[in-house]
Amino acid sequence: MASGNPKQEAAGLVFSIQHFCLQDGPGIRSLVFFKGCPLRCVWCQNPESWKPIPELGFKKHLCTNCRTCISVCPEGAIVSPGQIRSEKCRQCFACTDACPSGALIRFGKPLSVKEIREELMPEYPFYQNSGGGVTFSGGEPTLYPEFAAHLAGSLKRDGIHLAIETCGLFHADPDTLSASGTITKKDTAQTAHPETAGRLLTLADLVLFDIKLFHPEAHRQFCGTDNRMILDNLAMLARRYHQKGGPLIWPRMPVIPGITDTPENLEGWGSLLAELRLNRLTLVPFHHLGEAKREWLQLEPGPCIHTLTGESMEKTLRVLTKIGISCFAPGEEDWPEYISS
Amino acid sequence: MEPEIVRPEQVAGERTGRIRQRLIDAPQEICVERARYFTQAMAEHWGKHPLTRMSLALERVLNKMSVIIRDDEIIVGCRTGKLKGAPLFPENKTRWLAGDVENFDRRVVQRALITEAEKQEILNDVLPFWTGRTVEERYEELLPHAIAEDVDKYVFTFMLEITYGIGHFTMNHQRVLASGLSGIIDEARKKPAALSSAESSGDTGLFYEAVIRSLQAAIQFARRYSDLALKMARETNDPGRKKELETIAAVCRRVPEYPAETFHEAVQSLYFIHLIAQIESGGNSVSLGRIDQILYPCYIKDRKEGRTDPAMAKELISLLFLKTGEIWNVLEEAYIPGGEGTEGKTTQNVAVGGLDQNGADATNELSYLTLDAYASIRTVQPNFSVRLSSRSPDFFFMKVIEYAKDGVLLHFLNDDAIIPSLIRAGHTEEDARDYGVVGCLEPNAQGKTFGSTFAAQFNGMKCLEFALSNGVDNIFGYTSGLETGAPSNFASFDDVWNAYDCQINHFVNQLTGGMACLDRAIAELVPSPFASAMIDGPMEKGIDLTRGGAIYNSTGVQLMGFSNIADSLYAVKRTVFDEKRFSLSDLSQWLSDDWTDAEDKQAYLKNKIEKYGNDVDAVDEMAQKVAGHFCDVLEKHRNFRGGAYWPGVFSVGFHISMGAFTGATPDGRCAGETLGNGITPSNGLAVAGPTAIMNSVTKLPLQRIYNGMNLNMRFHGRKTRSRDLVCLIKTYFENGGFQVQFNMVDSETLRDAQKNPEAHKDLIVRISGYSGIFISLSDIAQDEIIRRTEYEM
Repeated sequence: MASGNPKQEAAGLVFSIQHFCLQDGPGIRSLVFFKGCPLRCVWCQNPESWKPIPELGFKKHLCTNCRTCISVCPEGAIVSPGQIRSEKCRQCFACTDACPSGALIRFGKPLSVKEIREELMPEYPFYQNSGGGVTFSGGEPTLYPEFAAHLAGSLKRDGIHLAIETCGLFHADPDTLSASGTITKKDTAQTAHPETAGRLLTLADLVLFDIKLFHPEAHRQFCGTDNRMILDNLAMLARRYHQKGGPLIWPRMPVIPGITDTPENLEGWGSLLAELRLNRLTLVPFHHLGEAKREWLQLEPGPCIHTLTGESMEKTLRVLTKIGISCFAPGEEDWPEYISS
Repeated sequence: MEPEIVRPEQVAGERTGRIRQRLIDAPQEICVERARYFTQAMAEHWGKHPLTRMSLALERVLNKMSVIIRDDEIIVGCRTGKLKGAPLFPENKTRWLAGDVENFDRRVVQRALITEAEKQEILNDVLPFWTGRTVEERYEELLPHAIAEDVDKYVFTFMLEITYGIGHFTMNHQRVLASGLSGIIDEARKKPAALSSAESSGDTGLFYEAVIRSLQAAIQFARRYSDLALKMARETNDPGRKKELETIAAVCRRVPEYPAETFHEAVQSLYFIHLIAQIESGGNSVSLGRIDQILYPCYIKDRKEGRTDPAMAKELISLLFLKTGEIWNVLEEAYIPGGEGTEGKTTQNVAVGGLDQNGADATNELSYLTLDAYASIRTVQPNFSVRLSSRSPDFFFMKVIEYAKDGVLLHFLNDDAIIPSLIRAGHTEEDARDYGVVGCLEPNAQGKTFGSTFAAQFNGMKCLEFALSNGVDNIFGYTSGLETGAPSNFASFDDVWNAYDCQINHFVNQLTGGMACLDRAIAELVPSPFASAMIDGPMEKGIDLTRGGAIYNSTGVQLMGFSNIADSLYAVKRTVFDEKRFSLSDLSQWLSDDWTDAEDKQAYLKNKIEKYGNDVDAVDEMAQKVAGHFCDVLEKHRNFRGGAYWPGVFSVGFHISMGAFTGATPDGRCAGETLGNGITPSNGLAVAGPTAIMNSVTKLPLQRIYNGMNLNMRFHGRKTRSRDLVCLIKTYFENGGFQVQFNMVDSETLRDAQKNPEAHKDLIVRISGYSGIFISLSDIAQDEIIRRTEYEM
């Protein structure tokens, strides 16, 4: 099995490929979810995307207690259904292959460019008719700069519209627009070297740039890292875009009640976006959809976050509109440049 | 420009809204009138030729049955004396009536009111005459013993055709609108002159005589409405209504006897013909056809002469549609799950849009008005088809998608695939282009076809059950199929396939043999002289529809359990022969035991083996093979009327009723569970989204599935961009897709998915940047989605 180390990028670690996605860029799209993320946002609903390594998940409610997993494990790492001694597990995934009920599941599989392309090709006619394409998501696609650039190049040669959704945390060289990732510890994804992520971004037609907390300290508190590099990258990409040298930059903000929708945060981002002449923003409403996933991965439950109300959403809209930012719901953007192209 | 859509609340206060509410509120009832007059006439004339006595019986019914004009009505004509009344057709089958009469008003599903006097009349005056005279009894008499044995094995059924006759046709309404019934009568009068004296005194002469009598009876029926309208006009104190009734009187005095001069006359004429065909015989799915084309000349003429405007035209079409809602057939209780919904609807189809005979786009103003009319009432009937092609206007595409998103049930049919398929099936190019849609979704040449599209339902999965059990029925435990060898002796997948092939061929032989007997019994006892004059062919040939008079004469056989067969064969091939994970004798035993003590194997087969509908080539190739094989098998047979057998892969409700009698299957399905619906992947097993489903479907040899197929897709989220849905359909159609219908998922479905997650594994919610399917969400997240869904609606 290939490791998740992006330095040996014969394959990219992908935890899901979804088709007929309508909310992550124009038209009908497929999403390729890369596994591994340098951020740890407390509200994250895709916690299986965090670690840049394959992982084992356990959906307790599906387990029929048939104990097939115990009998097939060559390492004797499974004590009882769902109880796995991680130090013994060598990640052969014999258990997930054999698990009849689907209770044991594997997150993350190294896939080659060829494999991913073959999976995407039958969807091409749907992209072409709808002005859609492929969106790299995650996790963080820039963690696999070489692999993702390779895949991106292959898709571009096929004439496919490409969007990249990024958290913005990558080393980028303003001239080459480069970035790359290094993984220092087995289970922690970190940011990248300057050479390669840039090529990836230059291949994209659209960058969906996620913005979260404006204040560096707040960002550290809720997302686990400083955000200076993110701010720099956003400014740099915006500059490139306005100079017609780079992809369309479209910021997106998850609206997390009490965290990202505070007036200070909204005003901070709003002013910066206005200054960068990025006057369109997608607001992604918070949802609880990923809660069960933390359980499957035996992670601590996330903090209690209240459900978003229509009232608070309207408040958010008022603040941003006042600054001159046009806000959109996912899937309802006006995508000026791409619908016409 | 965004197309505007119409909703029922917009007509709530209007005439259409009032009639709609009356229809919705009306109870279903049984009406004895037709059975009474039909039986009386038949008793008097039984000694005469079947064509003669049939036309005399129709004449009697049309002369005697109630004529009713209800408040607000402009388009008139009733099939029974009750608003939502089901007539009875004792000439086809009486045995069930004797059993069900007492039960009609007590049963839970499809309860139908009936008076005590009517019950007594049916039991004492109607049924006794028919003993020994029904189609069913004649059919049983004709049926060879060797076939009769196989009829009760839950492999195939002719249930609807035995109970109600053949039905399933569109008529040449244009001819009636252009020349009136009087013109057709003239034609029928001239015909015998060209015949030899033997012919004119024989069946052919009697046929024309019967046609003339039936058409004259139809004219007389319309006159009764004219007289009634005039009488009511005299009696009413409401000057507005008086004027309307006078108009009705004038219209019914003219049509269908004479050519339609106005749009109002055209709609009324069309409805009379549609109605009378369904009084003559009870067969389901008599369909209106392409009414945007049929009515267009009269519409344009009226517009030019300032007699109508779009709003008036839309109202008349709505009123026509509401009339179709009065028509239903009551079913034998045991058969209701397989029928066309508990409403007993007869699936009268309407089609709009598509190409004309020359291959140009024929979408016109009436196509839009007809859509709006249907959307403004949204009743169970008619069944609405939209023909689309690469030439359809974008605006029309957008409009139909807006309606689909709003929950209006529409079948989308692809002209660019269907027309070549119909040509392949033997149609001329012009006729193929002018296809009408019958029943659920069956395309065939409008007004030229007697296609018996829902003649037989065939459970292919049951045949595979027999192939894997050496002929034993796993539900009942005794041998019912052919003994094609013990599975333990099968050395390769080819052996399994050969056994399956033998079972299918055997039962298809039995089916066509039985169908020939049934069709013959119908032709002998209940010909259709009225409908024969409404479809091209019989008048020219002097032969009744039921004997092959029409230009096109096919018989549809629907394959049930298509996805289960494909998934099961693939699972056997992979796990038994390729991977050697299980032995076939073990698997066979688990199926026989309905997975008892093999639940983990069942789960493995269900969850871990790829399924049709996920765009996985290996399993889709098996699906391809199964579909192609079924076409090959049917192709060898000819029907009683000299036509071909047409394969269809759609289910109505038979995937449920036949599933109930199908044992456990190697795709992990339990005994008794529902089978796959039409060409749609099995419930909950297509987990890769709509594009993958469509890609799997378009790998199949769709061009050979002449009788049609249904792909049901469900969507969550009314906020889905219409443009994307248009592109989804367009791409599917470009790839060769035939038909698709959308069900927008509502909060009720989502709640059901919370309770029964296994049945909803394919329920995909697409939320930005989120990866997952609905049933894997936590309860709280599911509730959140449900709240959102409700909010969006």
